[in-house]
Order: sequence, then C-alpha cells, then structure tokens
Amino acid sequence: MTQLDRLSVYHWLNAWCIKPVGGALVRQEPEYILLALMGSPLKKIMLCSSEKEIFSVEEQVMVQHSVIINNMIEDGSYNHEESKIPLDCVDSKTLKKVIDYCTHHTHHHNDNQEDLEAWDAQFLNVDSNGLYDLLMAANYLEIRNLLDLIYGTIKNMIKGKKIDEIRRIFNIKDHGFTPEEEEQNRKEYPHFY
Amino acid sequence: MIDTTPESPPGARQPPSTAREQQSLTLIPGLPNDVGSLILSMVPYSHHARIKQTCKSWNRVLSSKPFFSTFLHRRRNHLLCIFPQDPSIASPFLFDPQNHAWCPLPPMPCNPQVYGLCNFAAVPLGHHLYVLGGSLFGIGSFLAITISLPLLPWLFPSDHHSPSFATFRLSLRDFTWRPRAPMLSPRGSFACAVVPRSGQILVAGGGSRHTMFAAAGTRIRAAERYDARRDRWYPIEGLPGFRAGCVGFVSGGGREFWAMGGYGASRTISGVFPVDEYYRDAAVMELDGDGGWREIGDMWGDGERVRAGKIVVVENDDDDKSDYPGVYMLDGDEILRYDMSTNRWLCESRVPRKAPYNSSFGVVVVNGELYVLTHLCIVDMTETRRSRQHRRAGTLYIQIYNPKKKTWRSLVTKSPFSYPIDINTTVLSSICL
Repeated sequence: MTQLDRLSVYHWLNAWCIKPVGGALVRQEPEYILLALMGSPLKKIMLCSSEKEIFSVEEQVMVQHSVIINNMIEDGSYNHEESKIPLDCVDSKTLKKVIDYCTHHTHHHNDNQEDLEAWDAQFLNVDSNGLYDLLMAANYLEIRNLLDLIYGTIKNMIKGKKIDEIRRIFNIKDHGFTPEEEEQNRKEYPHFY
Repeated sequence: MIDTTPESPPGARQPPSTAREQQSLTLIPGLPNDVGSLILSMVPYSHHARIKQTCKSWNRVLSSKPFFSTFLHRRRNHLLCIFPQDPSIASPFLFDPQNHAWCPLPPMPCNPQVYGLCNFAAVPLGHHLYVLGGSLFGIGSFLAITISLPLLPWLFPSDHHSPSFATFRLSLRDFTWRPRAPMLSPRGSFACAVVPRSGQILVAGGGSRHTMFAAAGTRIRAAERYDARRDRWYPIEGLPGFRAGCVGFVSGGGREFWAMGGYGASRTISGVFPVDEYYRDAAVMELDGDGGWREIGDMWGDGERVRAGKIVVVENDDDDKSDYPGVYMLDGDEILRYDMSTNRWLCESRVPRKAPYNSSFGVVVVNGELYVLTHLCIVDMTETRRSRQHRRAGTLYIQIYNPKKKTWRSLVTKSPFSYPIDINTTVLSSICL
C-alpha cells in the first residue's frame, strides 16, 4: 500500500471505525484496523490436517493462494485467537507440501520465470499417489495455480507417450479390451504401442 | 516414481463395486472420474486417436457425445485436413500445427466402379467434414455422362472422366464416414461456402475437369443449397454464366455468397491447344433477397494480366469490425489481397522461400493465418536391413503468414506420406474443434 492509500484508508476508517469481532460490531482504533487490512506479516493461522496435526502458517500466504481459506477469513468465520481451520480431506504429508508451495510462491513471486519453473518441477517430483493427493488437496482448497500446474503435468504424462507407457505410468492393469480387440489394435496402429 | 497399489486418497469417492467393475469404470486409478474426465479433456484432440486405445473406459469417455460437446466448448483446436489423393484409396490425414501431431483418418467408403477422385471440396461444418463432388473416372461415369449431356458440350469425347454427385460426411468424434444425400447436379472444381451459424452449405458452378488433364472438362451454371440437418439439397438460382474452378465464400455478415474467378469458355491456340478463358470478375448472390446473382465488374484492369492463382478466404474473428472476410490469392510466390471497396487485387506479400524445383505451393487458411505448404519426399536409396516403413517419411514445410501482423513464420514437420504427393492438386481444408 502506498503512502497515499494508507492515508486515505486511515481517514475513511476514522469515520467508520467498526470491525466485526465474534459476530458483533465493535468500535476499534483505526490504527489496529489498518494493521489488520494490510495483513501483518507475522499473523498466523492454524490448519488442521485429517490426522489432527496442526500447522501454523502465515495468513498472507494462504489467503493469497487458496480461495477457500481466503473466503473463510474474509467473512469472519475464523477467529485468530481461538480457532483452527479443519481440513479433513487433506493428510499431513500433503498439507505440508501444499503449505510449502504457497509459501515459496508468495516469498519468491518476483523471481524470474525459469527459476520458478525449475522449483515447480522439483516440487512435483513425487510418486503418482503423492501427485494425486496434491491434486485433490489443491482442488479442495481451490489453489488455482497449483491445480493448473498439476493438470499440466498429468496432461504431459499422457500427451507424448505410447500406450504401453501410459498404462504403466497410470497403473492401468486391466485395459478392458478383449484379446482379439487388443491384437487388432496393435496390428492396425503399431506405432501407438 | 511408479507406485504399486492404487489406494484411494482420503476423501475420494469411488463407487462401491467389485474390483473388476471398478477398473472398467475408473478412468485414472486413484482419482475420481470427474477429475479424470477433466484431465482427458485437456489432452489436445490430435492425441485422442492414440489414447482411446489405452483402455476401454478412456475409449468410451473420449467417444461419448457429452464429453465431446464439453470438449468442443473448452478448447479451440485448429486442425489441417490433407487429402493427398482420392480419399478412398489413400488415407487422408489431420495435422495439428500447434502440437505437430499427425492423425490418420479412415479412408472414404470405396465404390469399386470409380476411381481417381480429385477436385472435390472438403468442407468443415461443426465437427463434421463433408466431402462433396469431384471428378472421377469409372465405369459408372457413363451414366453420369448421359445425365449431364444436356448440360454441356464435350470438348474431348475420348475422356471418360466425369463429375460426381456424391456427398460423404466424416465425423471427427467417432471417425466414421457416412454417405449423405447426393447433389442435384454433379460437379467438381466448384465454388463452395458454409453459411455461418446456419448449418447450410452453398455450392455453385463447377465442372468435370480432372487433374490428369490440364484442359478439357465441362462447366455448369447450376447452384444448390444443402441443409445439413435435413440432409437435403435444394436448387437455387444458377450462375449468370458457366463457371468452373471458381472459389466461393460468404461475405457481408452472412448476406452474400460470392463465386469468384474461375474459367468459363475455352478457346484454342492454333486450333489445337485448348486454353481457358478466365473470368475477370466475381458473381455475387444476395442470400436474404430474391436470390438473384449480380456480377461485380472486372477485378483486373485493361491490360493487366489476369492472375489465376489459388484463392483462399480468411474468416473474420468475432472482434473484427468488418463484415467482409480477407480474400487472398497465391500466384506463384506472390500473395495478393482483394480489396472489396475498389474491386482490385493489391500486392500483400511474397512467400519467403520459393518452392523447390519450380513446383507449386498448396495454400489453406488455418486459424486466421495463411499456410503455404510444400511437400518434399526424398527417397532413401540406402535402405538398410533395419529401416522400417515409417522411416521413409516425407517432410512438410509450412510457411505461415499472419495477415494482421503481416509477418511470416515457418514450421517443418515430418509427414506420414512416404510417397511424393502433388501438393498442387492435394485438397486441403481446415477444421476447428
């Protein structure tokens, strides 16, 4: 926020010094509201995985990436002092990775594109189960750029590969074709296999 | 990296059924089907033919109508369709310029009595490709000759080629050909255009000229309209003159059908060699009104040499203000643009690299850009024991002109045609899925 913006917000707040706290509207000093709006860099929120493990992470980081968490905090249903956000669909290992991703991208968003892409590639160097867990977590938390990244990776796993490789990568044990159909396909399009 | 058992992650909802059923329904083991379906819809169209054979569930989903219609809404795949020869003999191919991917199409159903189909039109409509008319040889052509006899005099009675009525439709969803209602008048080398947002195809003029014979062939005036939904052809008012080899397009916001150029009468040099009399003008039909044709004045001034290159039309984008498409002609290695307001052709650009060995270019419009194609096929004389059939691939060299930016770029790809093709007579079309 520029100097000018802060000043104008300050004056506006001075006139309307109200803040929702625990469902009630309480008059607050404008300085505190300003601080809250800017997102104090040290403000942390608690995320609770399906295994009941608590992760503390900067609010700014999660709010920037996850639409779900952003909505929860914006509509005030999250009380910083007391509550934690339960994420029953996400296990600890995955949640840790997701937090890792969001933190890195928030702190390094000014880096050049190649470095970010290299980091992303390294980040997604996991087994397919881990990848799927990440996908479901990103889907649940609505983290758009992580979702797009994972979709792109899986799409590339399908795109350039021959059929036998695809079956192996995605662990498709039973392709469902009868032996005759399979043989017919292999004869007709040998370069696909 | 490859893991063993497909354990469902916490929260994934899988249908409670036996393991075998589950496998046949699941798209990607470990992910719910809606996510799997979403991922499959991200794979470009050109890869579908291959990945359909990965497993039965993928095959079912990729061929299903609901998937295809959502797929069509999401992505814009611009594909080039190449028909190097008679499509019932040689497989046509789809080329995806963005992904450099080739996909063979099934050959058209074969009528054993005819062969050598050429000068047909390949018209995209929705996710179908219509192959209309053409000129062919055959036993059955005798019947066609007698039917078309009242229409035109024969110049060379010894020719046995004749125009075709046939209409075929290829569905790019399930790769099947279906015969459709035949045209009312047989024709090849005709003007053809799709009326936007209406599912109608207009054809006008045409004749029986075959690529084997540089001259000869009939010319007709008749025009017709095809309604794709009803699968019927309706006659519309014929052209003012006999015109074949003309190019058709719809302009004026869908209100006008143009049949431009082409050749009409023929004259002979020294009483022996036939030479075409090219039309210097275009004929335009008002689609809204009484359906009459009017002739636009000559496009070439007195003393100007009439250029008879290949004409292609660039449709307007939605954000283009103009009602009129861009009409371009490739003559030799020059590109000319037709200016509607002055009814003249203006120099637009020149193809950066000439065609080798004085061969011609093929030209087609894909995604608003002009694709100028050259096909090179070098026969490898040093065949080793290990060389397999698909090693002897040709090369397709494409020079792409963007009319908006006025820039050229090029693309080289290995083509699946292991035999030399005549790019001049290859029928090219583009389709957007």
